[in-house]
Amino acid sequence: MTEHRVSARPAAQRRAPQRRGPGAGAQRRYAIVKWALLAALIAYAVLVVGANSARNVDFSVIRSAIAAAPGVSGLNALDENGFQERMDASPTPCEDWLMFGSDDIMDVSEVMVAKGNAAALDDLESALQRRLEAQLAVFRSYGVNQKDLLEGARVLRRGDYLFYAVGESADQWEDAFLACIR
Amino acid sequence: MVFSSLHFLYIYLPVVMLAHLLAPRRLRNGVLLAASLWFYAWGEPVYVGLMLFSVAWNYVTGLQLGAAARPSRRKAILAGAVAVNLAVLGFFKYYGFLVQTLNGALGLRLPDYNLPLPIGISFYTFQALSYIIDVYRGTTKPQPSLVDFATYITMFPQLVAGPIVKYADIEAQLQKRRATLAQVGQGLERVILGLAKKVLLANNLGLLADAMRAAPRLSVLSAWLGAAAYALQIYFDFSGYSDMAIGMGRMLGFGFAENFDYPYRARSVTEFWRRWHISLSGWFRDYVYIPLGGNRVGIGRHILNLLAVWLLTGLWHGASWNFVLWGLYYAVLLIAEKYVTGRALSKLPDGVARALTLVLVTVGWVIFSNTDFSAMGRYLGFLVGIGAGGFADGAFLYALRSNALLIAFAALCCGPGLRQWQLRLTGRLPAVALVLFAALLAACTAYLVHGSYNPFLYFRF
Amino acid sequence: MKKKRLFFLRATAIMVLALVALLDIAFILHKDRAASPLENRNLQQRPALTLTGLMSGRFEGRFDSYVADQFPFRDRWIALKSTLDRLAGRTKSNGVFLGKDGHLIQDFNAPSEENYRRTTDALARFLDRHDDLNAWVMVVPTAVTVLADALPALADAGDEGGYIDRLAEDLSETHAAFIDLRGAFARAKPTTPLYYRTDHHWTSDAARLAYLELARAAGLPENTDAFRRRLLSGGFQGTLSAVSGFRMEDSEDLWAYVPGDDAPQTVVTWVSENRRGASLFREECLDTRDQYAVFLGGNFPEVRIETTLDNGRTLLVLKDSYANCLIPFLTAGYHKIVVVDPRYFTGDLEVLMGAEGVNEILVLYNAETLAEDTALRGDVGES
Repeated sequence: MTEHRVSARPAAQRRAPQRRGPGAGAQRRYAIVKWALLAALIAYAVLVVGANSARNVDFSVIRSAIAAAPGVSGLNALDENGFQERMDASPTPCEDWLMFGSDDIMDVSEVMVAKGNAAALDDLESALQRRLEAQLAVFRSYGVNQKDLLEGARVLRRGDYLFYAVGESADQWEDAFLACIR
Repeated sequence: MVFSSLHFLYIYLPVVMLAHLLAPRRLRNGVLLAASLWFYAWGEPVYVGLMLFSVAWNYVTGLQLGAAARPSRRKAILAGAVAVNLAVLGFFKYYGFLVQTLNGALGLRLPDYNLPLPIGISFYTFQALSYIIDVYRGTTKPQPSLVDFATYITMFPQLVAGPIVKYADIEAQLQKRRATLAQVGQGLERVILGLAKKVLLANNLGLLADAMRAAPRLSVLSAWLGAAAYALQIYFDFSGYSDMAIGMGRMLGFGFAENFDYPYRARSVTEFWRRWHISLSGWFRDYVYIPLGGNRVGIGRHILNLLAVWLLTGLWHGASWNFVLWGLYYAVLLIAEKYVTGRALSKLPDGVARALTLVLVTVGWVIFSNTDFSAMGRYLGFLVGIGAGGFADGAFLYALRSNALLIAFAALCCGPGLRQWQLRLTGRLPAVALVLFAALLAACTAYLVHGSYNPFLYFRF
Repeated sequence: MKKKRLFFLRATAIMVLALVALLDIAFILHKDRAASPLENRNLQQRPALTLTGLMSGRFEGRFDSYVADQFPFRDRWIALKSTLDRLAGRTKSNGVFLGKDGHLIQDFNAPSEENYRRTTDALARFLDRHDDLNAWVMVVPTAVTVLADALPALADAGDEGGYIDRLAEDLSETHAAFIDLRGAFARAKPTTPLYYRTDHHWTSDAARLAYLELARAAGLPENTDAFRRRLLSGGFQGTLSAVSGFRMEDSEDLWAYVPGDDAPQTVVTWVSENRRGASLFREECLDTRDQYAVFLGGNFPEVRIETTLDNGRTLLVLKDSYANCLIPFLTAGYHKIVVVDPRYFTGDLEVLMGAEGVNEILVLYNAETLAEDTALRGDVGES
């Protein structure tokens, strides 16, 4: 015969220990997990913000990285006049800049990096769009390959930098640039 | 990944639906979760981590609330959890906006990180908030399974563009749902209709709207045509996406609530907001408006409540001041309807009331679509003839002539008649309806194959 | 639920499944196409899977394009879309009108005031600098003006005529003669096809008419008896059909006026390519999509044409692609022709003119290209 153990303690008192029983342990576990999650979130946010901004590196680092990238050796380093001719804009408002392009008129490959404040980069970005449109108009009917390369142009803003590349190796140039500033 | 893309429709969706159907019941949520994470990561390889955080954080919060009994403790848990959710949303969506405003107003030079917006963050954050608030209120029990909860938050049909699904609505289906062939067919019916709205109507209306907006000067009629085209575009774009979401949910065995109820038939702005983006206005009503007191307070407090809710609604739509203005615009109209014009409005004949509401809503969309205030002002001016290039011009006539059929059909689709006819058709001449749907799907595919123009206007959420 | 509705739902599910399965199998089994002649563009190939590409979103975007570009029966789908567009009443796409009788006509975009001023002023100054040389400016109207009656009803086309009028007036103060072709074209329109139906260029017959107008003004032979009219291709597909998506299956005749036995012999030097030839026509181009390039081989920075004619006349032609089918006629009147395309030319024009002994100048553009052009002013010395 089973015996029922009748609890003599009143209901309220029976409830009281629950606050320190398994409930409290679970609460502590949850709290720990949540703090850990918050820490992970902060770390994650820092990483994301970091990935989207850019370290201020010496521009010569970027210059050598781009110059060393595959396919750039066949291009010429442009001076201010060359830049002005292609972009229909002056690079002087920028803190520093580089541009490589090809002498061959049928070769649309070019790569540009500029560093400056937001206003200068905004202006340069508009000039870039105009250049791409002009190039596309030139090659619209005649150069199917050039048109594809121009349509696949890479344009990036990271922090104080503006990056632009057109060409078969545009992806690698982009990676090289990002590797410098990350 | 975009719903209206060939990759999604012909590769992702069939594979996922098949896997979901064939998987054993216990694993279905896992399959759906994996598919949803893949879907999100495809479009946001980095920000998928943020969504995982939101899942984990709110899952644990739910359990915490379930285990805590003391009201003060529960309030603290809720407050903390809500704060973190809003902080995440605020930072990743609104930080740039805040910084630009402060820099402009106070001349500071706070850094702007140019963070890209995580897709769908407004939607999944609001879904998560609805969950923890409901658990706090006791209207819902916390979900013990992480997989099931994650499935709810990340479910791909409504992840990117809604509808905002309340946990309580689909809790039962998370555990147990059927998938019959007829259900899949019903879902597909909805998906194809939504796809057609998006690809055939919205995209083409968008071409018209953009063509009108690109011109430096517009005649009055051109401006109205452009604004109307935009109003139609955003309706079919957004409701098409909702249709697809609801249809895909149905294919998976879920029943999502309707998000649109023919909003352009509304007789007042108040009614419009009961028919447009129903899940969002419902969310604000349940979690902001009613807790603030709703309309069971004095007039002054009521007006404040409305202002607060609509400011937030506007802000939810985008991190830019024009959205705040848009929210305020509707706040004013709603307050006016409630306290001033409401009775006069109800005495108007249907046609007049509807026309008036359409005009107000269209003007609202002009505010909504221009983040630049000077462009907005210029366009609003064109609507009333200020700075416009005449009343009508050649551009207007040509645009009308080229798009007459499109606009007429779009106007027809703003009412329930066509849909009801279609439903009757499936019940009377199913073979004919079948051919019709095959033709729709073929037409949509054709436009997707040869269309590089495929915008989604609500994507910044 | 009614039985018929139930049937419809089940049948829909099966039908969609079948369609998707069919297309997916076709996609798996297909071989990637490199280019689409119908659309005149290259097609996305399977993108390379790299970690950086994956994390930056590059791979995903390209994969989506890959699926679309290599989609089975792509050309058929495009034709279907084109038909649906026409049924819906769309008569303009990507800046190209679908005119009456299937004639594709490119719209004219008026230049911004700044662009117009810069180009016109530079050109005027250039002409003034060389006011000792005979000069002609020929800005050719395009189909949007000459064939305005073929435009779709109520079409809102740009005002190319107004642009040509303004240009003529602004250049009237220079010593150059402005040659307006609109009268001659209007007269010839009923009997002569002046523009291609699928391309933005003018026909060789139109070029011949233009040459006759120029000949009168420039003292050149006022006939083209030295040339024979020959059909070079019956399958010419122009650029406008690819750009607009209309009439993509259409093809038409490409006629040219080739030098006969009486015509002076020519030596053609493509300077930047270091190539020489005897013929102004590059027949290999007829095997490509861009058959119009048969004229002069296309556009090059600098082409020098020397003839056996010994009259000491040396002409500089500043031009766009329209000039390519008119230049052959000029060989009957000049000893040397230096053809410069400012979009590609990077040298110093003044130096070139001196070196070649240029004593006559012809500026030959079509109105649309000149309105959008930003290269001419750089080469004629804008400063």
